[in-house]
Amino acid sequence: MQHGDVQFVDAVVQSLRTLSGDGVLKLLATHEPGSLAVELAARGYRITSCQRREDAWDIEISAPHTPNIADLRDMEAPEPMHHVLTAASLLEGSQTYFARLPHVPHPLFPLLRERGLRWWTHEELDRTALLAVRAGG
Amino acid sequence: MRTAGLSLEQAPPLSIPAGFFLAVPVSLLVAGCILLFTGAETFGNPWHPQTIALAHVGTIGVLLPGMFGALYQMIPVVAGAPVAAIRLAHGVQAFLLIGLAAFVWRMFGGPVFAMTLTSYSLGIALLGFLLPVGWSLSRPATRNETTLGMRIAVIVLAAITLMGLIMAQGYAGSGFPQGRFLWTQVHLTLALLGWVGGLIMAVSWQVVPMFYLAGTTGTASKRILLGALVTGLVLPFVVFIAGDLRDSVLSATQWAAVASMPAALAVWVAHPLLTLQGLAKRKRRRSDASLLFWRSGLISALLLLPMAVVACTADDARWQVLFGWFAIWGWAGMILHGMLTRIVPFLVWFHRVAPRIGKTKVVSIRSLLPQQRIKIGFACHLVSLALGAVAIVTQADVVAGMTGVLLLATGISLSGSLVHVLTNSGRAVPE
Repeated sequence: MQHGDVQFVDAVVQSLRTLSGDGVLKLLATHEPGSLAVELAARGYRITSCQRREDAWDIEISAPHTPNIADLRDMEAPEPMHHVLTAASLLEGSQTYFARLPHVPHPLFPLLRERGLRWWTHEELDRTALLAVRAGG
Repeated sequence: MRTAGLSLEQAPPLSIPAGFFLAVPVSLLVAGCILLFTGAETFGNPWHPQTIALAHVGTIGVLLPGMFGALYQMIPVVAGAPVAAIRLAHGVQAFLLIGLAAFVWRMFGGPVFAMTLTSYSLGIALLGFLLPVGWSLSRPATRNETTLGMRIAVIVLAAITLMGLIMAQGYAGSGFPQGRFLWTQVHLTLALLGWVGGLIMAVSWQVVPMFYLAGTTGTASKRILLGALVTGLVLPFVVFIAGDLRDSVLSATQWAAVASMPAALAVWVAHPLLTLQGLAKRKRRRSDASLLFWRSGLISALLLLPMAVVACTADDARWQVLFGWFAIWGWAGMILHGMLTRIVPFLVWFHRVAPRIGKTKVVSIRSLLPQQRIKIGFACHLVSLALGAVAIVTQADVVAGMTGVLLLATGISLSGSLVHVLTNSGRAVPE
């Protein structure tokens, strides 16, 4: 491992310490994850990476208990919103629902707030979005 | 990840975009009546007062409310920035209506006072729109080419408003500004390419992939188009400032038209081609009648540049009228009509159906507006467009009258569709 790789792995490990057991960590790195992917997979993490530019890797690390992420990017409006609201209505306890959406769903947020749900969004480099909705205020 | 801070109060209530959208068919009825009662004379010369009245009913009466309603709705969605003092929009709509009515009155022989009323009303309406919308667009949570295109369009709207108000003084007893033709050319260029074209481009980049799963225009292409648009909007101003070009082979008006070429190529050639290409690559080919409007509008756009060239060079004034007819009713009107048949059901679904999802059975968006109604509206619109073109070429009163009847039919069809969606959402069949 080169010096830069060590720093990169340290940074990722630091970030993972703050990640909940069912969370998702998004990283924009100058490195390909390489051997890190193997190490994390052995510890139950799921890691995907995509090269966005020559020096930009989009890395996504899902914790061992993170539910599958629904892919709603290829749906006409308002179908993604319909799916998210339906799935959100079935959440119990501190369950989290994840979905990939065609864009940051600004109109959805007031509806989630009205239902007492918490949400987080991450806008990807291609302007699609990763959404997390959690029950339990 | 970030949490968003939108609240229900920040999203515009349905009554605001719906109010603007319902004004569109009303203006179509007015346009139909103008053609029905004035006949082919309105289609003979662009400088005739009743032709100017018809053109402004088309732009201020049909296009402007549709575009205002869409912007009020879309800015919080696309830019993530709510429009401040949103209730002011009702006042904007009222002053727009008063201003347009007074303008038409003056064009049909009303007193000088009517144009003074026009100036004040439209000035107040545009100010009431531009200030809060401009403020929201100046601090968007999301920065992309759509918000940039919207900003350009809104800045251009401010410029054309100012120019329009100055030119309106010619009908208010104060005389037209020197170089009236050049003023008109620059006003027209900015209005069609900057305001209408800029907004159509920006909005289409967002809604065409969103509503139709069409292929997206690449970021680099969007930036090139916006760059060409800005270039083609700034250069006519240079001509405008240069002013006296009497020794030139071309008149100042023609130079202004040539200077707008980069914008014309972006708006009337590149954007329609890219969008049609995107629509040909739809990921899910579900039939949707609103696409008929998009395709027709984009094909009309491709006709506009050759028409504009002929209109600028030919002596026959009918070419200028034909160009205006296709620009307002063929290109922008078609796209706006198609957008209304897609966005109004979406808004009704969002405001009235979405809050009930997961709690009770809900209706599907497609059941809110039957495809048949959209197709009838499209048929009326398309036939009126074709008849209008025939009326301009032949100058036949009977064809111009028939065009008026078809405009009335289009207005009735559109108002029927909008009222159906806005009032029948509770009775639609649950999915």
